[in-house]
Amino acid sequence: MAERSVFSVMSVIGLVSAPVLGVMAVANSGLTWFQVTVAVVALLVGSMIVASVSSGNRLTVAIGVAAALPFVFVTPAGVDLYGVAGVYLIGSAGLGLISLTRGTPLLRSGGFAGRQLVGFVTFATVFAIVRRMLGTAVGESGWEVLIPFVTAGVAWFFVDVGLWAVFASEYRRVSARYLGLAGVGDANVFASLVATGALFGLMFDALGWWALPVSLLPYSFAHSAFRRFQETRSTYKQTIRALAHIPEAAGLNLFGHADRTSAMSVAMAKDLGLSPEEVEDVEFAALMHDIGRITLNETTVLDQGWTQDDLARWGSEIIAGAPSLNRVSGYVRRQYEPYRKPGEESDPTLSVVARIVKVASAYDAAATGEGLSRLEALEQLHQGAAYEYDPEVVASLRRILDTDAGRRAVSV
Amino acid sequence: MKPLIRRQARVAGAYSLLGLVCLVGVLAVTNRPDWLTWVVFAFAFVALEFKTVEVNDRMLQSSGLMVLLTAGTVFALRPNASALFAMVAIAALGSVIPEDVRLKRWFQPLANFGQMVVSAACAGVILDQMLTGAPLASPYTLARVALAGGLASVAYTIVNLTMVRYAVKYVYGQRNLQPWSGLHVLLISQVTLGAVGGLIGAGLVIVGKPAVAVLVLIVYLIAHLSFSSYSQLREAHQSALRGFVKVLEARDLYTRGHTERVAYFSQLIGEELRYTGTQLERLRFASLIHDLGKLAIPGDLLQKQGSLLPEEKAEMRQAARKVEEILGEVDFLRPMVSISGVHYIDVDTFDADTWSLDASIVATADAFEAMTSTRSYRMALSQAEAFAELRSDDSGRFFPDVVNALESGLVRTGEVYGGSGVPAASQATGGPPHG
Repeated sequence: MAERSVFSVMSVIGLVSAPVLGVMAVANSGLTWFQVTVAVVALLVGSMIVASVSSGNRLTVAIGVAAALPFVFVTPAGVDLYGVAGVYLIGSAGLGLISLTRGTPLLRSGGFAGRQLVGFVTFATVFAIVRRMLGTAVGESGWEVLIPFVTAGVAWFFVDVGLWAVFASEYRRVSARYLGLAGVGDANVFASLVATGALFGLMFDALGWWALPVSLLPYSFAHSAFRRFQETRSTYKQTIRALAHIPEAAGLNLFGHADRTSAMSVAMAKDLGLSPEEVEDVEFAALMHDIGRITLNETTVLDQGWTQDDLARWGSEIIAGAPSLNRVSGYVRRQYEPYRKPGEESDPTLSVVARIVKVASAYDAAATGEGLSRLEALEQLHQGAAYEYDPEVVASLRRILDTDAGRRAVSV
Repeated sequence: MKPLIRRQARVAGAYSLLGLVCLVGVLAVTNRPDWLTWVVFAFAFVALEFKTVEVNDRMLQSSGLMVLLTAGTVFALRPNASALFAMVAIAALGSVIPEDVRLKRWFQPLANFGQMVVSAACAGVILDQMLTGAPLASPYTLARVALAGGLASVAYTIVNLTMVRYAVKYVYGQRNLQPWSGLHVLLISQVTLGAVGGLIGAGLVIVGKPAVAVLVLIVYLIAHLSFSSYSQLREAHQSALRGFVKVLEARDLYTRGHTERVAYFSQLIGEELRYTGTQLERLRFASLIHDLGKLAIPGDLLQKQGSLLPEEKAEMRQAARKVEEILGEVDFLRPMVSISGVHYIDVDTFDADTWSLDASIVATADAFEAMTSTRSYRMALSQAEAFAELRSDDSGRFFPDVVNALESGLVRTGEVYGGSGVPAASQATGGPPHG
């Protein structure tokens, strides 16, 4: 805890000293206070317009504003680095304060402001350096701007995602690898924001404020595309979830089993560092692993009896009705199989997705179905580890259930 | 030659001839463009046309149009160049898409060639008239560009849609005109697109840096790709739902295909009531899921012949309520969950206050489908009998407007359902012509 309070004090120092340093930097620059105010306000207003992304990273129009500054604030010698840095310092302290007033804890607000600042500064510095290095080598053809811009944008993106993944994995109990991969998946959103900022910056000189609508309109198409994509994604998930609840509503399965299995499976998948795509497969496969139980409604089936294999087959047949869920159907087909049969090596074709769902489902059956305590249920899994269950997956479940944050993540 | 092919050949011949005349005429009267710039735009346009994205039921091909207008504006503003030639020549290139080649289609490319060249010519004339010689330094020029772009875009859209509409009507008869039922919505988005396309063009000319074009292209390409992945995801979602419904319906021989037909009738009613693309989509989803309630019902009860005992009815109603709760978990379906219980609602439990127009549409489509197809316990009614029953129902579930819309929709498409001399079996397997 001592460590925590040290970081909190550092956050306060950072949030207070950044604007002071910013004012000093601006005083050394060629900018007027009016220009600085407009730029800072634009940065803060931009931070309210959030682009929809899958990863959970916060990407806003502020990124575009920050990207525009090195283009707008120029001196005959090149980028007005003092002015740009001054606006970044004042602006990122403002972003931290806004985050605080929204109820985000001090440590995370400070971290957010710091991360933004490091990203901004990376961009401006790389941009200015590469531009100076190019010098007059490429003339005024446009490449003298584009090459530094692309280099700086890429550097900024990886710095931002890297810092975010490291910070966020601290308080989310999720592997930094998973977050990093998810963050890299937002490259399209980030690129469109940065390019929009640069576009505005390039046109501002010639068009004045007309540059604003002209540069923002193409982005607004992208923005609405991102939003629609995420909306559809969430509707898709809701639909799958709703379908997964049908056997439970019909009294053919333990109530809430699909949701609990899915929450636990997703937590394990993220803990084990699976890619975002695999995590999504895990989520769908876990939700629907018992969908085959719908069939237990039919009289002929009940008369003839059924096995675990039948259930898995029916489930995968139902899921196979949806072409886009082909992989998930395959996982559901095999999720009841043992990790390894006595005397044999573990089957390499049995996907980790299926192994995760098996462990989560078994834990819920023990904890909720049989009413065992957490430790008793885990003990049961441990006894089956190495043959019935994948020991690595069981160890991951234990890691998650051993922390408060982990238990919160899997309680639904 | 089959009549369909003969009609196609006539339209394809007339349109492509018109396009060719237009192209040659323009070639003869205008100056040549700066080829390097032209090639860049043509490439972008063709690339976008190749990967056409359906934003929703209305917004097709918009990306290509915007690039076309940007190109037109650039050439109109430049001295000694003309938007007309640049646009007509670009449009001519975009008329064949890989889909056509893959499916060995000849009619679409030929007709498209004519439509696109003529529409582009109309838009080009507007841009040239309004922008040639406009002073680049004047602050009013940008407003003028926005206006010209908007107008040119509207002209392109109207000419193109009119030609497409005529061709579809002539070749295929009345059906399949659904994407153009809400022209006003389309026009608003086209005006915006045109104005933006024009402004970007003006930005390119006035700033004079190719870097601007590259950046615009980056943002625009990202938007385009995101729309196309959105569209793919939406498609995946819909086909997933369809797939599930199909697998689950397989349990019951008599209702096989029921859901698809209900979705089709709902769509028909929605079109008659001038629903927009988004509303139609919601209706389609609602009608696809309206019947999932029966999954929670024991199979023997579901397939039971004759009427149900009171306790069996209660069981059915309870199952339906549970499923309503589940479907309420899907955000955009929440206002319509009462639909899923439509089979099990007795007149005395029906609550008119929560009954929406959407709910009434799906309920009407569902009842009509049930009455006009043969079930385990009775033969199909004729279409006229079914409408008479819908109108005599005094529960308030079937709004008169909705019933009328269904009837006029069926008149429009010339379809007849139900057991009036037509064997019911062919109805059950035939399905709607499209849906």
